Amino acid sequence: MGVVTDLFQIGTIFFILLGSVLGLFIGALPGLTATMGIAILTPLTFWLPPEQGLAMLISIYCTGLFASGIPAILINTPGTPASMATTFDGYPLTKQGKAGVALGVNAIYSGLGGLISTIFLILLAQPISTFALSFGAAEYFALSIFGLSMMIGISGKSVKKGLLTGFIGLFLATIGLDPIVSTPRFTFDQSALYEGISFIPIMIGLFGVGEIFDQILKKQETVNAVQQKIGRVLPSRQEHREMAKPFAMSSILSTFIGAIPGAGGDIASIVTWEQSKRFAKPDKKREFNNGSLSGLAATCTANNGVIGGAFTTMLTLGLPGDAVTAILIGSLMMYGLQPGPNLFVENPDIVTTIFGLLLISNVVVIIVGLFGAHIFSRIMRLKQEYIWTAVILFSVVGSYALNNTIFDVWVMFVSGLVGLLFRRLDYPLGPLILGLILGPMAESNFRRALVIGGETSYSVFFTNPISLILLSLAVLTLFSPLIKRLLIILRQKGGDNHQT
Amino acid sequence: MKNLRMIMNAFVLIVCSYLFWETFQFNTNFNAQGLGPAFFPRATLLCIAFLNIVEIVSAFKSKQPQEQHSIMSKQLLLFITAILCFVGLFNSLPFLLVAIVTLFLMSLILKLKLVSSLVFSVTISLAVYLIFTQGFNIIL
Repeated sequence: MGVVTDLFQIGTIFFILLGSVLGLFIGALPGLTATMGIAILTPLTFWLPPEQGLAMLISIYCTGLFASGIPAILINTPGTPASMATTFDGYPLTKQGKAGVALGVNAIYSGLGGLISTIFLILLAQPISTFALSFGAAEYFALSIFGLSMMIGISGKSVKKGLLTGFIGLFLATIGLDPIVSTPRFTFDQSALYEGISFIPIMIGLFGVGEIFDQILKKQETVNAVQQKIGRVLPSRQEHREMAKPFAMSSILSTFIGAIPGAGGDIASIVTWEQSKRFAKPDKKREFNNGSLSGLAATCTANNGVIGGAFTTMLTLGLPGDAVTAILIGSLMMYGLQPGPNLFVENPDIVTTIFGLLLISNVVVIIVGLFGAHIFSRIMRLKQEYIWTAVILFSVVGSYALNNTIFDVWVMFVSGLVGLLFRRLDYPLGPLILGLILGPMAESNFRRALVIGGETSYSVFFTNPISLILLSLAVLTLFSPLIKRLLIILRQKGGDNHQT
Repeated sequence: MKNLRMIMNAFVLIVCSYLFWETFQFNTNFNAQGLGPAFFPRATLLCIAFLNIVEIVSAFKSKQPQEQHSIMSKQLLLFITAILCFVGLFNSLPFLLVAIVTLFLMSLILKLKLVSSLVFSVTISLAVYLIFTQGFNIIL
């Protein structure tokens, strides 16, 4: 009851609304992402009570994902990679003069997708966390390696590059006092390094400042917002009926895709769009890519549908489902909360608060989306250069404010340069962050497992069924490109032999 | 891009070698049980070094034509220098002065109009200053 009262306090509602407005700007402006927004604004929430801070961050996440569909629909430019598939049918609808309905579908189905996936989260989180409570050191080590391998396998074009950035993240996590015997490592007698490198300044640098540097190089043109009338926003009953099946399929599928570390809205929206096309009636199939409401509903649902899945693994196992939940792990740590099964035992109230905030934020998505449809095109007229400058100011001050130390600002600045370099050279940033988060968990549990199982015996990782399964899955994920290539070669050879 | 990739990998390799040597300086007096504090950093550094060598070799062998992505432009360099000055002077001069001047310079580097740049830098600096000092009690 206390949690419900907290959720509906004026302060919490204010931060939900503030987060929604910020998320709307972040999502609607191409180039700004929810990841970047949350990374930069996390330091602002440090001084707030957890429920208010999380209210702001969660509503930025939910609204930012939904709002990224707005430029995709109006100007054929996805606000974030997650809304790439929204352009397939959203923009053709705008060209047909149905921009209002497309924006309405985006708002309603993004919000509903988020709500359904949150319900899945509420139903599944408790059993998963109860199961995970039985995990020992070997299982936790295997779990962290599995999470890292999934992100490496999915997030980039090259597994090699993903592995490299993942290991860099794991290495950075070793800086500071050793987790078992507190030996200083790579501290170079600098007191600032004894507690390790702060996670938030690195995130701000990589995802905020690095992204701005990259955009200055790309120099995106200011968006030419649509001048045409938005028109009717609410879909008709007939249109809702047409979208019911793709919505149901997409909300379930995207929740499960969201739970896979590294697989976010970008993968979910494309997969669900393809599946809706596959199962559509022949006459409706032709509409896909030409303004199909079913296709649009599937992608919009998937946009926010991944949230529940990503939160499920984050809250129950401490594994972030995507970059945003990786930052949210940092935010929870900032409040002294450690995501994982123990969170459900030690801080059940905060878990319930998160469930509640997700439900409220997704309802707000629908309200903001439907009532604000007529002003979206104006938001997109904002000059990006102003946003870039403001982001830099917030990044510098935010990094400083975390610990009142200029060292964190330098960490942020260097991370920004590294972020630019990695973006330009096509190195994925996700594995680096995940390595940084999972590093302490992987190292301490690896060493603990060896102490428990006998120092020189690594069999503890292979005799335990859960760790064996997780480690096997990790190896399979990392070697899957190699296995695929081998299969293709074998098939080709088989074909050649057959011809001769 | 190919050359830049090789330079970056070579640089990381050198840093890795130095850090690997550094792991032998760890104080291991308290380490009575287990693999010790140096094991995990050494293992990750070896993996990073190995992957860097693989990357250097594959970049060297690559027959793909050089891509023309730029890593730096004059505008970006000036922008980064302005941030560098901002960070460098952050604790030495009053926050409002440093923030307004650097934001104004950044706006000019990004070719925004003079008056709007000035209004924007003053407004946003003042807003951030008030949020942090009055809202969060942080001395800037």
